[in-house]
Amino acid sequence: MDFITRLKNQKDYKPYLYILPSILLLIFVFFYPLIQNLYRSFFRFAAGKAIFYGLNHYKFLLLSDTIARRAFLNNLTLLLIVPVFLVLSILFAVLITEKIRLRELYQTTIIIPYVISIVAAGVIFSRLLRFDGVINSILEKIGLDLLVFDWLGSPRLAIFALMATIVWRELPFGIILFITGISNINPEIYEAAKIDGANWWQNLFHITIPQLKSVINFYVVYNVMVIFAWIFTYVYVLTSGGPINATTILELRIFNLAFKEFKMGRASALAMLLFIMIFIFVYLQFKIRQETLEEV
Amino acid sequence: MKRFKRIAFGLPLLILAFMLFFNGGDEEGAGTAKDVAEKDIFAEPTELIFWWYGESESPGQIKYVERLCADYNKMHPNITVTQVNQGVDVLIPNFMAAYEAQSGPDIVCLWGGIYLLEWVWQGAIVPLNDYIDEEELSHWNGSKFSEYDGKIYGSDLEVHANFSIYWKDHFRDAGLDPNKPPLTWDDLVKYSAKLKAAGHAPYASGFSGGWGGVILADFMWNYLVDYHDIIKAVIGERHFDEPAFIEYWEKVDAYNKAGYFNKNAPSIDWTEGWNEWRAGKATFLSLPGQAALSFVDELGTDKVGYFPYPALSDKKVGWVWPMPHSITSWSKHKELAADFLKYFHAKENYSKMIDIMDARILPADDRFDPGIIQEPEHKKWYAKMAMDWMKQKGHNFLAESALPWAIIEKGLVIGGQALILGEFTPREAADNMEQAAVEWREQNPELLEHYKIWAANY
Repeated sequence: MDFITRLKNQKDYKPYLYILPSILLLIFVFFYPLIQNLYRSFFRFAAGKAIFYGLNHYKFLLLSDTIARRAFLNNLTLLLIVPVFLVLSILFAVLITEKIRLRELYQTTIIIPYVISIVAAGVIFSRLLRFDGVINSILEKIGLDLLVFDWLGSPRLAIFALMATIVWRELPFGIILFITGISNINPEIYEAAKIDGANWWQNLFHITIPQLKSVINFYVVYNVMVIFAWIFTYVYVLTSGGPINATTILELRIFNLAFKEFKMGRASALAMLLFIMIFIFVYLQFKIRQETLEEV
Repeated sequence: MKRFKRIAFGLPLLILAFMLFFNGGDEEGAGTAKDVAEKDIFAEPTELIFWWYGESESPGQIKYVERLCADYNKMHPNITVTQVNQGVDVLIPNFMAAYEAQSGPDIVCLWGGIYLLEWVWQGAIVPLNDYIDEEELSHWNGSKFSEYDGKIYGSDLEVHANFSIYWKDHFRDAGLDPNKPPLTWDDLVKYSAKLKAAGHAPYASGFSGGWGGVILADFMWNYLVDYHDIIKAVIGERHFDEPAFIEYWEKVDAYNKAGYFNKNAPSIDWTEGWNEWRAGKATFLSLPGQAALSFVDELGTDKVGYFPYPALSDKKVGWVWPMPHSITSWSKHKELAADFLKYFHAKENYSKMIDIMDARILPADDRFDPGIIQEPEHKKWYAKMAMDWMKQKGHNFLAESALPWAIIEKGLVIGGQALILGEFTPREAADNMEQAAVEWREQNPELLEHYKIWAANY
């Protein structure tokens, strides 16, 4: 059947017409910037001219840009947050869904950090963590001088200070997600386990966590994306990437290349590399998930 | 079905290709100056859009800019100047978007020095010489800051000078004469030792965001090297690892190792260092004049003393920063924009600026007489000093204005942090700075050529 005949057949083209606005919107907001970015990554913009530069930006970024390399390593270090998020979110969610006193109060207050703006959280934590900040003052007052460090000023500690801030601000999302997941588990399973004499830990490891598998998968993928692509504001407010690039991340490097060094082509190339990296991580994650589901 | 699928995928791709290749702004311009000059530029109702960074570096300035726009509108009722305060952090990203779209502001402030000239070299800014006569331009004494290849690309809304302030009480605690600030670097070191012994952190700074290192270079380099030596080091005719530059790193290193900066300096930003000083947690602070004067005004000269940065050599130096505003290449009202920029320098605005800004910023114009500021003493001192420094050639602009950002970032920001944290020796910091310059030259051959043309004037 040729195309004209197909067009004449309403049943065939109607669905495509329905989704056409969405497709066009998708092209405009997603594919167009992506392809434009890819296109730009092959050019060098200098003195008002676009000069074709081939793969040289990629070559430079992969082989010679020490700041980008450092940023990539910092991003990888920050991935340590993912298991922390996972463990703490499940733990808090389980505890909050237990029949404990003031449960509603906990459920309400736990969300507070998440509704505070990232900029405000960054400012608060910069006050808490600086050398003469509240945390060090408390440590000094309780005689724990040994633990007084320059959390933001030390190149070895700054990234952990950054992690602490991100965990504090982002954890509630995970907790809420797992509370929802737990509330969807059939209570009869717990009742059956209770009859069989299962204790709290056995419930957790043999019922709750396996039942949350799909939520866990989503949460891990989401957090990997957060770490690679959505933490710019934390870094910008808290440390600006310092000291000595100890907290510079790929997003910040892209921003600095584009808006401080005016290397739009190189910034575009790094943005493409970041996109590819996230894509690979997410793809692998889905692949693993699929295999796990098939095994089940 | 296959064919249909091909078309279903092909059509969006075709649209995408069209969007990609037909996305440039048109080249429709404002016409030449001559064309425009022949018609009355004030006849038609016109809006000029004016982007700038707001008043975070200069409290109260929005009021002055609004007054300028309103007064200009009174003079030319058809012309409205809309000032858009973009804020320091977003002005450049937003301007870059405007440049890409070839649409946006008619007038923009891009800070001056290389910060501005990099945009000139991108073709985003037009010279003012095409619209303003040479006699008028000859009075603009900050124009060297925005000059390239014999053309002037900016009209200074204002100029500010930079100096240092100190707590007189701290001096008394340390047994120092509160009316005798340190005149030389050696004095500063000696005073700092006494202040530290008396329990005061001598010098307020902050290195977390990296600006602490840049600011120290701004103040100290003018004594150790000439402005054109910095320029020569950028283009490779001199080197950032020569003894004169190393001396800067050695002095900062020794001062830091003696524990004369506030203890939290590595974990706070430079402007947070101002708060440390304001809270009385450190004695000295070096900063832009308008902010320094606001501290002096707020706290009073019985509590706060002021002085130019201590001398590291016998060179006559100054620290001024004119604030040029420029016309964008895509503006359709270039001549009108130029007229508004010329209005910055109108004599009738001098007293307005002094009144509204309380003499914290000054007109960058040789027709301005600092004598109109009568009292108090510190404002007279400031205005006279700023005007004298403006006249000095070669040692008066801050060092950073001659440096491309890549060199500032790697050389002064990262290098400065590494030195303060003990990760770099002075020699390594100097080598790192030289490496930054080498990398910049290798990666920016076109900009280097422009830079060399600019350098020829220094």
